[in-house]
Amino acid sequence: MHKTIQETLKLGWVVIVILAIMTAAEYIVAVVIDDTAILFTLLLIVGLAKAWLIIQYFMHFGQLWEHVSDAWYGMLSDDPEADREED
Amino acid sequence: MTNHVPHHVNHRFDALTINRLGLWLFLVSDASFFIALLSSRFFVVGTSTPEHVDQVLGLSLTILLLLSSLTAYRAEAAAEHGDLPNAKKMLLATIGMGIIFVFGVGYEWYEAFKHFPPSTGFGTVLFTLTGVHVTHVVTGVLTLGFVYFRIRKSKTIGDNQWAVEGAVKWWHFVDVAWVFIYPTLYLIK
Amino acid sequence: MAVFMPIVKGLIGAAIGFAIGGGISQLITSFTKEPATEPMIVLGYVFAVIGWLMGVGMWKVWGRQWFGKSTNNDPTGGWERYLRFNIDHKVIGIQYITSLVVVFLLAGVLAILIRVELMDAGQNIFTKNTYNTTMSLHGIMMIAVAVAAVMGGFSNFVLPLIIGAEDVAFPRVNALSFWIVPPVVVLLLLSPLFGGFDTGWTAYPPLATQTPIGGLLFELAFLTFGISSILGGMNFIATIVTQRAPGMTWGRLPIFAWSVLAASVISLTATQWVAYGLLMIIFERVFNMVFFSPPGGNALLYEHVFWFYSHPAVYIMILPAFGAELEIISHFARKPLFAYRWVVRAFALIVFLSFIVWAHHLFTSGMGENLHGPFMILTELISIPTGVIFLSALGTLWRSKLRLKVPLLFALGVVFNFSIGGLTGIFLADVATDIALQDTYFVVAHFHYTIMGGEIFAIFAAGYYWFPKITGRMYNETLGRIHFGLMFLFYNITFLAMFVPGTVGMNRRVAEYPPEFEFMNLVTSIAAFALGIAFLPWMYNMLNSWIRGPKAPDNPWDAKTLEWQTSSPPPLENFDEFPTVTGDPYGYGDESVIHAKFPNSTDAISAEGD
Repeated sequence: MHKTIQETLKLGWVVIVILAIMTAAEYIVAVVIDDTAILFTLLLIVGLAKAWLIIQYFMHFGQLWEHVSDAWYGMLSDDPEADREED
Repeated sequence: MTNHVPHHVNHRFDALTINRLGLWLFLVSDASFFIALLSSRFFVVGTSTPEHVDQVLGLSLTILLLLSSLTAYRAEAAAEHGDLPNAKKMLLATIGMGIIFVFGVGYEWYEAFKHFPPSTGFGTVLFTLTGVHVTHVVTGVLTLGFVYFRIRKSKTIGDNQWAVEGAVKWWHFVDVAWVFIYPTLYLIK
Repeated sequence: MAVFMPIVKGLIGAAIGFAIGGGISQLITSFTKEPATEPMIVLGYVFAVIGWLMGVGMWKVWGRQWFGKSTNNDPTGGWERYLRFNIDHKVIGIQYITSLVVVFLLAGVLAILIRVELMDAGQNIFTKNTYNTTMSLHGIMMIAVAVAAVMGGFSNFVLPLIIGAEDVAFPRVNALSFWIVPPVVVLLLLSPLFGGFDTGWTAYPPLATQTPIGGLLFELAFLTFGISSILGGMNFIATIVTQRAPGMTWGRLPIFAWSVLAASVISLTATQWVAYGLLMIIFERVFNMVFFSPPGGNALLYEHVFWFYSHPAVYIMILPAFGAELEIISHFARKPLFAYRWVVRAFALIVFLSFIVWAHHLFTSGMGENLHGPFMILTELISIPTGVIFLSALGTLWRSKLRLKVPLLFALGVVFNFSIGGLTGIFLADVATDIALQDTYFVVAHFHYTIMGGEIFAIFAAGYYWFPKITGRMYNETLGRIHFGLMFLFYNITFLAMFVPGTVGMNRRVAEYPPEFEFMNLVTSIAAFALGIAFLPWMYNMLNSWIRGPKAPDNPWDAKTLEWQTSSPPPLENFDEFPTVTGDPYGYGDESVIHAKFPNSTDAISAEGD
């Protein structure tokens, strides 16, 4: 599942554009809405979404499972047979 | 590296994955520090934000840090695909934006001393949040600087693959922290 | 003298660091007209710690790599290898254990001094301020022992061995987490010279923001200690996840490793909160911020943040202690650990609950009363998983043929003492009784029953149990029994007697008290002196056996777990050949259960049952 460099760089641009749009939305929401509870909820949702984008696409959270999915699986299972196959 | 580096007898986890796991654990730990930090804002001054907060500066800092995350991402991608000249360029761009960010926060502090010095409620919150965050930014800049220093003359990435990746991950984490600090400090009312 | 060179270099590095940091601070503060002692100490200390670490060997082992230079991290050597930045987990474990034994004895001497003061109602050897500094120092030093002796000491030594690994996941981080402990001890010992701190180890503001410089030193020490704890937690989680021997599935993981994993999760996340709490105090002192004072600030903020760490912290202390206790009970009862899976679930549940019970420390602090009920119920819920751990211990002991060696005696002591500690805790979790008992000697007796009776007894159990593995020599069984008998007897007299004045309202943290409490305090004091004497046979036994004891066999307890399947003490790589795990570590009494096989050896581990 290795991407070419062009694909990788394109993904970066897509993510940063979405982040920029969300930041603008954040700012506009804060200007428009006066109710603290609603504003807090909206800002929290946008913040979590932005954080998720960065963690998922910029920080490659999924990498943690990439090459070792069988090892993680073996850890979670108590089945000795499943384990022996790995050795 | 010489003798007695564990050679991971079980071979199920390669060194890269172990390093990633360790860094992620540390990020989880540091994230809980930021949660404490952000929650204290609401304890000390509630949701009130004074008028004198420089919204333009706050938004510019946010955009700057997001952009530096893109360059960091491109540096990592270039390094991974063996394109060292681009990786170096992008690292330098990231370091540059980080330094501008530090100066931006410095300007903000200079302005903040006039309206809300540290001995006021909001000043306490502002200086603590930005202070802790800018400390992270400085460590990020230093880390990226070390990585640049190490690959500045090399033609191949060699042993430094993890160094680039780790430093870039740390930089993204600093960005994630700011994603939450920005609305908490500037936008909530 | 050459053996002390890393230490000397470290001290020189610390001095240079302090000069640089302090100089920068003086330069910055020369622009303002504020007095600048405290900023200078803080910044100087930060640089001093870096200088100390670099001097003591981190530069050679690690720092050079940042600049692309070659490093030298050879962990071998004579006894000088214990005196430098060494990445071998066995060396680090011994470094932790020996330095914490020193801290333990110093804090024990402070406890004796406290009991001398409290022998009668009036003032004897202390002024009120020096009494409070003594009491606070005793508290924080014992907390350091309780947090780090099991997590830093025994976990470091035993954990990689018990999961069949060569070392921890990050050996250099491991060394770092030990070498930032000495600055902690130095700062704590210096603090009485700079006015001391009379806040207790909890350092509540606003008092904590007004103490002399000694208080600042204490806060910096605590903060540094937190860093060590966080790095240790990170390392142990990564180790358990990635470094287990092939075949060591989660269901075969020894219970001690499970307990270390559970405690590591807490120390990884919760410790950051106390770091922030202390940072707020330092900021308020150094930058005149207003977290805890008007306008806007509120001292309750500190109590929330502080106890969000410090309540889970008692589980950092007690969970590995439970793990070691269950481990020992199973091996000495020669029976499989009863309800293994339920114990693991109980650990997980305790970790989860420990994060949502902190406010039971704030019942009398003026916290909103609508929070009292939920926190009372959540706190009392924690007795359910704790009870599961007890049932596992009792179920393992049930109808077993016990091998009554010293480690088992101490483990049984844990069961007895902690049940008293746990039962008296219910009265403190309950709002109605807590309002009367808060801040009395009842609380003091309660947490000494849980932490000293539970954890310190477990540390001694672990110490005797793993002594042959760590030193390669056997301790003297008779002296060990004498130590246990004296310690168990006088420990219980000391702290049972403490409950009595507590229930009728004798306040803690006071040098003088109403004369009607005098008799029980005298009983406590005399028992405490005897308790102090009880440690003499232990000290003699440990020192003498380490130097002159008979050579220990590889597996003196016929235990099945992996740390006993290698030589005593283990070689540098822990195992000559690395094992493959094939079965339960507690399969006693069943010949077909084989815990692990070694590639070139025909005799697999199957310690005989009875």
